[in-house]
Amino acid sequence: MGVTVMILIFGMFMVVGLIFFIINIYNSLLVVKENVNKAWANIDVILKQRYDEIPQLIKICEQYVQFEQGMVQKIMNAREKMIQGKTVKEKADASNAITASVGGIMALGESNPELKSNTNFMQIQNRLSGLEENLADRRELYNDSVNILNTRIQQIPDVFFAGMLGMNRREMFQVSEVERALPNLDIKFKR
Amino acid sequence: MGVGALVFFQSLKKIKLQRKIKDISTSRIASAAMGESVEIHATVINDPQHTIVSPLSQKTCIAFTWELQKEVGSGKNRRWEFQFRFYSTPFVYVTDESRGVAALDLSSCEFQDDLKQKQVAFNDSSYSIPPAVLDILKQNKMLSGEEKSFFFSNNYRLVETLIGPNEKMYILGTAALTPKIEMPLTKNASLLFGKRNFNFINRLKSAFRLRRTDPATIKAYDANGNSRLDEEETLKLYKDMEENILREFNQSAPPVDYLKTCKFVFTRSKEGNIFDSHGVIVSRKTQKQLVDSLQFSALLSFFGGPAMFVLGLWILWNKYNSRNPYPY
Repeated sequence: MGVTVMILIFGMFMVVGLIFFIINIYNSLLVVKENVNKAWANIDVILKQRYDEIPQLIKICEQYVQFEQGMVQKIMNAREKMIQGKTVKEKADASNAITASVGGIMALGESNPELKSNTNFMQIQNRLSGLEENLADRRELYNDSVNILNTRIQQIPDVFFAGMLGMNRREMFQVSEVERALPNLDIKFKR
Repeated sequence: MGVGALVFFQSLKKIKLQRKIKDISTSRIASAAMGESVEIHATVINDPQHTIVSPLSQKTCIAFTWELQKEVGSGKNRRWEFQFRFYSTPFVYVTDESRGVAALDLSSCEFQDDLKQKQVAFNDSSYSIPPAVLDILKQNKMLSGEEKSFFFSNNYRLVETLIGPNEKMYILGTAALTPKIEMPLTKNASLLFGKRNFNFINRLKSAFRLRRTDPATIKAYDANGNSRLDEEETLKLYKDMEENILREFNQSAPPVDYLKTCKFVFTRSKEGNIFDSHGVIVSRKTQKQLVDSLQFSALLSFFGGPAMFVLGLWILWNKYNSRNPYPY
């Protein structure tokens, strides 16, 4: 058997490997894209759970405290925006506003012993703080997935396939100024 | 030639795996969502009640698995072929900074080479297999049918994988709902180590039967006064009895049941094609180290495999030509 035949057979393996490599890049880009979608859907699950808890929390708190006119409406509006939001930014902004407001309402428990001793309030408080922790973790996971996607679609050779697949940069779920600032809740305790 | 093609195929699998590991973000156990491809960095829970000593290596660990391999082929095609694996326990529990607990179904694990520690070949005359190891092999019928050849032929070896307490691990697999009882999730994983104490089991059975119908016991445990033992009352009775009987048999209280607090269990994936790793990838290495080592070995096999194939073909061709000087 001549050297040429050997080189040809070796070359055939390399061609098979190259085809596999190309398919693998294409498939893995799709996986990365779907990972981002999955991570976002998993955040949505937590947002929905929190959405369901908020009316109950407000209902319990209203037995003990008097919220400023329109404040409850503001929280409820943010809640609706969060569910109806289409883009990551819209949802993130609404979610951040809710996180800040809910954090403020939770702090009421500390200053009102009657509210603090209410079993339902304590249960909701525990559930919400668990959800907030999960949300923070999943947000981190989402941002990490977005980071992988954004990096990959700019790298060579992935950039060529990303163009073919119509993949664009994705937005991160960022903590806004609203969440960073301590909420200012104007409330009065009922006697 | 065959080995060359196999090595090449393995390299493609490794390329795919290292890409997958690179592309998946790390989750925290407490907040991880169920589903395919969940990656965590976790630590094996260190509980003295779960600690055991492996009869093969005499090392303290949380769990061990043995893989029985048979030597097949000859000459350059000689290789160790997987026969079956068995486990000291179905699950190992891990935790991370989120304090969540996850179970690792050992029957679904694909341990990376860095976890495989002791390899004992039965043809090593300087090594005598500990009687405890032979007992376990016999109890689990791993020697059935081939018992004679197992002892006298030199074609078997055991590969032990140890999972030590506080071991830091990289895990990538499918997160599934935790089962209610500690049972392996795959059908073939029923070869579990553990000598059953039948006296103890019979004693438990008869004691439970008698005490549940005993009026004095019913009176003592009937908390709500409805003259019968409800589910919770019966459970309390069982727990108290279990402790008493364990004391009678000089055993300590049962170990902590981590399964109850478990967020999910890592198990085998059902999706994917022949190039995918369906098992749970478990390694002592960090993500980066694992990716680097996979990349290196994939590269070696990618070029080495075809080279072996071509070399094998060349040898065959030469042999054929030397026998038939005029093949055409």
